[in-house]
Amino acid sequence: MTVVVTGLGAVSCFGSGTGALWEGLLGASRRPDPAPDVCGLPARPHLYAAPDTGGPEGGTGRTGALLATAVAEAVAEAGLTPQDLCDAGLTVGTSLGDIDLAERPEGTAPPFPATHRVTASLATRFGIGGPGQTLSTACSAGAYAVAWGAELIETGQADIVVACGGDAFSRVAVGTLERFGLLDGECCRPFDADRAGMVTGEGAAALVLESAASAERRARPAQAVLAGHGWSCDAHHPMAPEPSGEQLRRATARALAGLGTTPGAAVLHRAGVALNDTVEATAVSEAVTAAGGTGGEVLGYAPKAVMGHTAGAAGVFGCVIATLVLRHRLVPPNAHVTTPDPDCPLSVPLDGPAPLPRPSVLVSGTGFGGNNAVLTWRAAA
Amino acid sequence: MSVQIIGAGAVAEEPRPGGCDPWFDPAAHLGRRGWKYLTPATRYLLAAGNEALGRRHDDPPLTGTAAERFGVVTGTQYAIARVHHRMNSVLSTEGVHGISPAEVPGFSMNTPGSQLAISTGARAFSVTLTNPVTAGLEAVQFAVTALRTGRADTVVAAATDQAPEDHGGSGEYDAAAAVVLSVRGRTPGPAGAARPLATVTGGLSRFLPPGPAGDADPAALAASAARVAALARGTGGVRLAVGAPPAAAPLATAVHDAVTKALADDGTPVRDPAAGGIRPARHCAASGLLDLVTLARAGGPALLLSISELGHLTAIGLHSADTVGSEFI
Repeated sequence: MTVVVTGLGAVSCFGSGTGALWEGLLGASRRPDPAPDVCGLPARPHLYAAPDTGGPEGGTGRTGALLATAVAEAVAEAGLTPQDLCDAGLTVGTSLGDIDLAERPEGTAPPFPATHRVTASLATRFGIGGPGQTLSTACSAGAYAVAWGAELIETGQADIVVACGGDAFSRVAVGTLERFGLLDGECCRPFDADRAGMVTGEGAAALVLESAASAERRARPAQAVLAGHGWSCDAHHPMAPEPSGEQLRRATARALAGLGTTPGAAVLHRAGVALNDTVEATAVSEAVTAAGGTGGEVLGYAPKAVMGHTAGAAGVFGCVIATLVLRHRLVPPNAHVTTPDPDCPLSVPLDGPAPLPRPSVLVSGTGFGGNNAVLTWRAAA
Repeated sequence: MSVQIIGAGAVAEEPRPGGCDPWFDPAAHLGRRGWKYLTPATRYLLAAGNEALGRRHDDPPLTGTAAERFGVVTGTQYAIARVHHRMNSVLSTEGVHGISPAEVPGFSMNTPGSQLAISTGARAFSVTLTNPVTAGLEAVQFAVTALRTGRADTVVAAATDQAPEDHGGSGEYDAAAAVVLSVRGRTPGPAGAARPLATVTGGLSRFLPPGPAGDADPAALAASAARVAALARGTGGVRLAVGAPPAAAPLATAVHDAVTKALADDGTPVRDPAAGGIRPARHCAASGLLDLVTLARAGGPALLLSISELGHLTAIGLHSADTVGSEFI
């Protein structure tokens, strides 16, 4: 069964809306701001902060509020009615959920508030009555939320699924990443040879996934078509990737098999952590080569340079960006590169938006625990 | 395609008046080594998962094709709660240098499931689901779907939680549970050629937000109940069990009554109603899976629902192990 995209939504450091996201990506200049908390460090760390999108409602924290903004945009663009939504599915990727509820000053909140009720909050708010899951596979949660949403449609459990992901600032997360040297003190620069780690970002993104038959019935245009998705687990280490990238390569191969051609671009998970970046680019390139292409034919893109690592939202952002790339037939330039990474086998546009050579885009998601999900998209006919 | 439960395991803290001793002995389940730096929820999950798979903790993980056809899906709602609470306090009092490297992996919801995947060699996928209460039964629904789409031949569907407070202080208790699911006729996988406990007739998930009085919209309730009842078609009668925390009691009662009516409309009798009914879900996200393990071990057709006070509903249908040809619904 063919799965298509009929609606997009996003809120990021560029503000609300996919229009602001696309402009920000094309601008390729955004740098992080100081975080709102010192996080137990000598000085405030960096954060690609999202704007406030309205006060938390009904016990929902900041992540829930960001998600509601992104979902509202996607639902409106897809033209979904309350009747459409009452049987629709909802898949939410989030790493920490409404973790801000648990980081309030001691004595001002219950010690163990419910952080992972974001899916219920969204389902209540939008009247989404079908299957609803929260996926927390660390930094690939968003990619898995989209893949699981597609799986629900492909197995007839839903005709329409709102697939989304979100994460907001956590002082504990940022402090811990800094403590162990995983943060770049300058900015996120994934394609620079001197990259020194990730920088966290806030945001939420959403896609309306739909069976092609449902979109046709509702007379909504398909913005992108899901060609394939592959899953795998390194089963190697709770935090580090398996160095050979064998399992990521296997997931990529399955996603490419659905596409049947070399993708024009790859929206990479690439976050500025050298080992992880190298494993990912090598695995993607090797899978492309095994399928008859070459890595050099694929335009690699790392949006985290200008929007930070949005954790559970990252994979959904990747799919939203892939859809925008297909819409505009352009790949935004990679930002913050002084010395290009010499070990990346993919082509890396740097100086300006590059024309998309073929109307297909690969999106990869990796995370702690070696949780890999890779999706391929093609333009609608 | 027929999905069978070929193994089950569980560890659970039960209410004990005045009891303050640790209820779980990791060495008894996991041996002397290899668990010191793992969170309690991770230890529980490994114990339940190993029991379900019929393996010891120090058995080598799967490799090669068998590993690539073997997946793990884990439900949890509190995996990081205590670690996060401690780290947050440490940041305020000692700064980041008070955080130990050994405790960092515990600050990720997927770490229990990832440790089970590492220990057993699950390379098809390792997915963690985190809806409160229902995530455990959702793991079964996820696993059945992934088996149906050919993403694995064998999947451990599991759940684990350490309650926020010890000894039931929050009204919740620690537990983990796991079932091994496999497609009939495919490679038996890591659990070996075990005798199946039950066949899964299907699973589904719905959302029924409770209204001000705690019950659900009547039309949505009836529609969901009809879908749930359809999981029991062809069984000739089922036990019906609905698990819900006390805060969800009005919704659970409404769902139980609606499903009972839908089963009657379908001509499916409810067997042994005294043994079923509404069960208190005291073990966080592991509650539904604990009930599933009990029902699967008891044998025979059953319909199991897990309901949260937020409105999540997950249902799994079971049939006798020798049932052939049950189709996913």
